[in-house]
Amino acid sequence: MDDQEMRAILGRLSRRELLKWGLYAGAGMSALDLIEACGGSNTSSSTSSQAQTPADKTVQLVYAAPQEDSGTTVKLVVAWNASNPKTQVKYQQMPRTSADFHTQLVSSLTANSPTPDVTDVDVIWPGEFAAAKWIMPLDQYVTDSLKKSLFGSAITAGQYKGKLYAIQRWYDSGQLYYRTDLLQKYAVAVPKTMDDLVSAAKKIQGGEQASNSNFSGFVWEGAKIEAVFDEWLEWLWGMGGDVLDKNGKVKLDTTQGRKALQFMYDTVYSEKISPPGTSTSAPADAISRMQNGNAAFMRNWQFAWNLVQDPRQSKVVGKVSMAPLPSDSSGRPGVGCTGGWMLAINAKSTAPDRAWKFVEYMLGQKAQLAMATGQSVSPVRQDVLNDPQLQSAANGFFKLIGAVLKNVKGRPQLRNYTEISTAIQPEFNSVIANQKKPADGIKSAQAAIDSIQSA
Amino acid sequence: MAIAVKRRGKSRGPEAAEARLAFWLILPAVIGMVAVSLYPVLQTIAWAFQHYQLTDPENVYFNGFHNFQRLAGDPNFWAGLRFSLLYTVLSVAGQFVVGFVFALTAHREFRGRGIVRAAMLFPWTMPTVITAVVWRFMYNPDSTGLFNGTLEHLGLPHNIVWLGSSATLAVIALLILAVWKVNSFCALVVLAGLQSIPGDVYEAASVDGAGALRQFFSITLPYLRQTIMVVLVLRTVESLQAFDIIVGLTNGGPGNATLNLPLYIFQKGLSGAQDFGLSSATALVLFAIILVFAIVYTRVLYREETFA
Amino acid sequence: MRETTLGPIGAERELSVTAGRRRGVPPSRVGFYVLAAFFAVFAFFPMVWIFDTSLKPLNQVTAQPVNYFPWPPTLDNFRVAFGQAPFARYYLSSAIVSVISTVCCLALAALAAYAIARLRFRGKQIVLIGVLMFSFFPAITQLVPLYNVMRNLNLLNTYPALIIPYTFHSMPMAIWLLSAYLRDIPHDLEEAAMVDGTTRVGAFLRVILPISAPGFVTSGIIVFVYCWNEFLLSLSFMTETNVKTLPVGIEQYQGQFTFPWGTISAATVLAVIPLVVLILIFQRRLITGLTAGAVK
Repeated sequence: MDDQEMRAILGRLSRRELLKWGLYAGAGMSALDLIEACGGSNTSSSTSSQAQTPADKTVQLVYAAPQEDSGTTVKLVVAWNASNPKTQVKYQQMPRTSADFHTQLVSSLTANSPTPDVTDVDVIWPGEFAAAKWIMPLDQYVTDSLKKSLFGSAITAGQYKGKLYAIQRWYDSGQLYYRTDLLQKYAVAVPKTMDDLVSAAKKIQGGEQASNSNFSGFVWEGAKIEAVFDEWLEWLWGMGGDVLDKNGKVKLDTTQGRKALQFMYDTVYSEKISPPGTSTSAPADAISRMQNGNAAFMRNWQFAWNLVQDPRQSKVVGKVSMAPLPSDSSGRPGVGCTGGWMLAINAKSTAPDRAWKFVEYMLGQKAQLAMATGQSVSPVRQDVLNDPQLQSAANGFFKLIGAVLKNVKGRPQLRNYTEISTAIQPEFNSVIANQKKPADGIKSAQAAIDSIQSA
Repeated sequence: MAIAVKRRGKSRGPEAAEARLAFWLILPAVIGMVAVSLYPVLQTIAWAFQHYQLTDPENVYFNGFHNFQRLAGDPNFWAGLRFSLLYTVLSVAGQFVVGFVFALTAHREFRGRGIVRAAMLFPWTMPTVITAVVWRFMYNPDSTGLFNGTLEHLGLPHNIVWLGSSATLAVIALLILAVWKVNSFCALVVLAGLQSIPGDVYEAASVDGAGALRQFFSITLPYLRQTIMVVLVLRTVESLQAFDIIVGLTNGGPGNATLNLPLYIFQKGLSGAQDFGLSSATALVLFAIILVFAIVYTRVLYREETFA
Repeated sequence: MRETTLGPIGAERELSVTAGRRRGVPPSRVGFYVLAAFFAVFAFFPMVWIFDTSLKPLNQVTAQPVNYFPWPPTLDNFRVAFGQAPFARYYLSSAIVSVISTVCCLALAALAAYAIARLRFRGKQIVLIGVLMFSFFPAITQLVPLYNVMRNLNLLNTYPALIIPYTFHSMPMAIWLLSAYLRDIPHDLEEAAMVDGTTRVGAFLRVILPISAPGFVTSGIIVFVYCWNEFLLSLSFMTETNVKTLPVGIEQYQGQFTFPWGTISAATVLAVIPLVVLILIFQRRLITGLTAGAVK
């Protein structure tokens, strides 16, 4: 499909139509006359899987992705359907929270459902899904030219036991947000090391608390959620450590591992630059502190940018910038943990070759640009990130994110990643709630995952 | 069990006819419940004795009591079991007492009774998933939360970390929510029971000079014996299975202080561990515990002769 | 003991049943009102807070410290709630599923409860516990097997996928509740009617049902609310937007990491208030209507 054609299609769809389409996806699609009538998403007949679908056969694919409000995903699917009459795709709107998405998706995958054919997966799921044989290896499809066009980590992050199971669709990552006005006021530089961060936060907090008792130097997420483990990984990686030992087993109880947790604990209880409520702080809580002008630094995901820069809800619009997280010494770049969503193909899909074409389309330059513009998320292609349209976008996100994306790292792909992470979270959370000392927290977390890894 | 009833009933006269009728009246409900639950229940029982991890599809085999042995060796299981029992005892007691007093209040005639009745229903009708998150928002340790925010407005210390400091505080916070949310159930059921007590019983007692307190203990409570049993049994069964409310409010935290067995089952099963063997075994343990509770309650409170 | 304290059989007692409900002791004591006020506040304050939040402009929702009086109050959150999702559609799905499940459940449960409460046979305790055992397995363990069943029956994304499990999952609860209420009705009432030549069915419809109406209404409300609020099965079985129920619909206003309090508060208000009003009207109408009939 050429550019003009795409524009024409997108132009025809008014905002209202898109909304309607999005809302009634599944039931009302025939109204757009794009898709032949078909039954419920899970009722398509399960004919035997073929590697090659005859070119003239019309197939109906289901693509599961989180609901989103910009309508971009709907637009992308509509555009695809208009130019691919033989491969019609239906967008199944999934919950936005990873946990509910997972529950819904796993229910259908365990039942050997052939749909969704293509699904978004959270970056931590490919290991689990691949081990369960729910998603198929993509190595046979991936071309070198596709590989070259994507960021390296978009591919490596989806590998499990030497095979590729999922490709990043868009990135999220952890980074440091900071108040430009306060850094200037207190004459401190953007921190490059963890020590810098502590001293800068202390200095600013000391000054600001005189007039604002709710002010904190550094806010981050210490609740019993996935992020608490991700942040620990970031500090660990920033000190040159790693979480997998030589045998590919998860090893927390290392010198750097203890130091990383100690650092997190210290921000709340020794240095006191982070508020006591950090133990229940989720990304949204840290953001509202930042929005209220009650924090100097914040560790958060990329999505926080738009909220902090939204004049309808933020008091600090234009006063916040972002940088890579600090590391232990100024020589080493800090590392952000990646998040976001990847694309994978259902191993029971009845038309995997067509499904792959759709995946390719979603990773293509045009779709990625439309996605990045519409949803304000980081694309997985350098050429898209460099696009002048994005670079000059109003709130400056894409200008700054390039530096962050240079040093990001994915969480390990493990068969039982969630189980391991779920076992770690309460232990780390106990430390941040001051119910355990960091060294004890690491020890009991290690014991918990050792019993999982040996089972 | 219904079959046993039928066999016994066939031999004798009018009583046998009643037993037969009872059999046919109970049958449709039982058939429906069996149809819906039989397969899931049998599946759960089968999985409990298998090595069955979805992420290890090549290795599915019968492994006897191994899953139960693994449970016995997991400190989180024991913590979950302990908290399940603690939560059930405390929340059922709280819901029952508060609900009962609520019902007695709403039962009386007074101006504004409509408001009290509406108040009784509101918490109950809110979707649990949403309720728990709304309360988490109110417990927010930053003064964006209603509680700490109000403390700040009043000039009081306002840095209480309700859900993420001591385990005791988090448990209390959870119990307040549990009582708030579900006392309506107890109140509704008890209120309906109160309404079916004949008024002349109280009149007779008043004539005899019995005070309000004596009337309560000698009339109200005995009359509501069955209702009370029903409330306690149903609340206990549900509290032992409490899930939404805990996931939404604390997710088992701080640490594992509010982790209960259903949450443990979820973590070991569907949420990512995909160890259906282990989570099914836990479900069986939970089943046994609930059964024991139900039998004890009915033994103590159930009187067959009162309506035979 | 109950038998001895009961008054004479017949019309006189029916009168006194209603009289007891009307009579009450005039609540003169301040303590009583304090208690009533406490209950009202305890139950209402989160709802008031949610309503309050639903009227707040975006920048006041997470103000630090909290802001009690949204100024200027706005209906934006309601607009967003309606604009972002087919809220009316969720309402319709929830209503269809809950009403049908409740009616089916009560009808079947009433039969069983009548047998347990009013017919003579042995082993009732075993029957009661046996019935209850169907509710001993947590929904999380039943989810995957049930999903398999629904998929094989091609019922996913159809209302029966929820109506069937809701009806029978709430059945034990309904049987227990109803049998407790039915059991409380004095036997001589029914027998008197049957002596007069009324059949058992007639006696049930004309005597038992009216007297136990509060019990039926209560059980109905409880089953209805259970169906209305169920989340896990609904989340997994209903993936198409046009059949989603309210709790799942509201929950899906959540972002991956964000929680749009204003929108969710508005949605919650919309979901809860009409329901409560409806239940209140229903409850009052039914009780007063029936008592009036009994007096006549």
